[in-house]
Amino acid sequence: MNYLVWAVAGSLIVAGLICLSMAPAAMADYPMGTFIHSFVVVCFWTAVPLLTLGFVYYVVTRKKN
Amino acid sequence: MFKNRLNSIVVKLGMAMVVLLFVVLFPLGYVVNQGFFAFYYQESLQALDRQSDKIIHIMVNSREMGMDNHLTMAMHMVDDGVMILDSERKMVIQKNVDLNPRILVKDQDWTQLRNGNSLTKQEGEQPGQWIIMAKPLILNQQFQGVVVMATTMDAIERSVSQVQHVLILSGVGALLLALGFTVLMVRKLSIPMLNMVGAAKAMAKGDLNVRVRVESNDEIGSLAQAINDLASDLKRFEDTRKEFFVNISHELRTPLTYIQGYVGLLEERSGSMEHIRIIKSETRRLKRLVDDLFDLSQLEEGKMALTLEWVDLPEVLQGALDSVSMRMKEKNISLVVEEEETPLLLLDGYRMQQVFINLLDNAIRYTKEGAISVITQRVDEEVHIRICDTGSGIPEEELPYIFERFHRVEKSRSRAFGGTGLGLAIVKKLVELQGGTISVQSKMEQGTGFRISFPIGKEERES
Repeated sequence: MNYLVWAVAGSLIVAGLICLSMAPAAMADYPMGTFIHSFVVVCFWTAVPLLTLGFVYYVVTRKKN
Repeated sequence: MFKNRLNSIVVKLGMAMVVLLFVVLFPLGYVVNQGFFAFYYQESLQALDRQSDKIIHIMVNSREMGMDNHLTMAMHMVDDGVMILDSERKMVIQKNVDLNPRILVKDQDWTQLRNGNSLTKQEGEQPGQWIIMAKPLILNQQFQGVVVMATTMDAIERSVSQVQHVLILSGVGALLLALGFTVLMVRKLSIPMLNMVGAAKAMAKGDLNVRVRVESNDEIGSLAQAINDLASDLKRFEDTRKEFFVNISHELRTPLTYIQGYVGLLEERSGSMEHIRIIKSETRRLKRLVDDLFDLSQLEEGKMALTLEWVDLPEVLQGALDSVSMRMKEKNISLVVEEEETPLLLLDGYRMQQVFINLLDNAIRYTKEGAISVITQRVDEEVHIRICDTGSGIPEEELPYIFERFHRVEKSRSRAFGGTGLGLAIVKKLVELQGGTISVQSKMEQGTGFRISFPIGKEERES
């Protein structure tokens, strides 16, 4: 996979995470604090399914081998 | 170039994912928006209900206690619009509502309120539409008037609009996030396919050594494996074809050289019977080669016409044995024949004799000493013919390919023994064309056995 694809995909993911984090911050009294907190939480919830899938894949692959 | 990129599977898969996301996001956004609107509307109604109850409660208590100033104080505590009407629908108190009481509470509404029922409705046109809740004021079982609470829809719309902004921002974020992962996933999925396309193109250009890496056991992995198998088969076929052309050139040139040489000799001096015999033998060899090629091409094109008749297989087999008996005697090979009674079969006798001669010819060619056994037997509903020799045998890894055209076991030795590499291919096609099957078993230095089976049909059984 060439670097351009990685760059495009990475930019889209970061932009998506920022947009999702900005949504709750838009209604908050302290936007910057809320944004940073939301960003961490959104990153966490994005990572959870990926890590779960990776773990399941690892377990299944190890069982097969 | 750009059009080609648009037509690629990466773009198509990516677009499909994006469309799917929109298909999910748009209805979801609409439903969430409507949900929030309904929620705020219900909240506003409940607030109006609570406030109107409080005002009625204060009015009832203050009248009983003669403290009308309490009502004025309570009115100050209410942010929404309030209008209190007496029993004649005349306005007593008004706050934050500048509508005509007769427009706000129409005749049919007034009748409903006089009967002791509450009223909830929307009045006016957007923007500036009002939500109205009216409740009758009943004191000592008598209708005293109406408390009308009103609030504009603007407040609800402001709240919903704020939620809409959050939803749109979240939707865009989710879309971008999904797009990012889609790009990675689609790229990951398409790489093996692009590799396969590259391999197929390389094969089309003649590079048959190209192989695709098989990375998974799924459908894509199976496809990659199939492409690798195809490349192997094509490589083997190509090698065999090249080998055949080398062999066929040699085979055609040798008899022609002999014929040319001996014809020359015949021209120079009076012909001897030996020279004529050699010319005859080489001509026969050449004719056989050309006949084999002709038969195979006819069989492969499906143009070979069979003359089916009721055939006694042992009889046909005996005819073939007679044809090769001289060669067997020359090589001092003994013959063992075992025959069981078998029914007549609907076959082409001439072609079956060709099949048997081909198999016997091979057996004689590769047997230095020993015996050839020919067994005919009936097994269940089939007739089996076995032709076995005690020759050099065929290596196990060659067995799956011996019925392929132009294939020769041990190339150099085959040339020494003669043969075109077409005999067994013709045998297999002829047997299958007549509804039979052929199989082979062989052990190195022990011999080879071919088994031909024909099913006995209903007609054969009756005959």
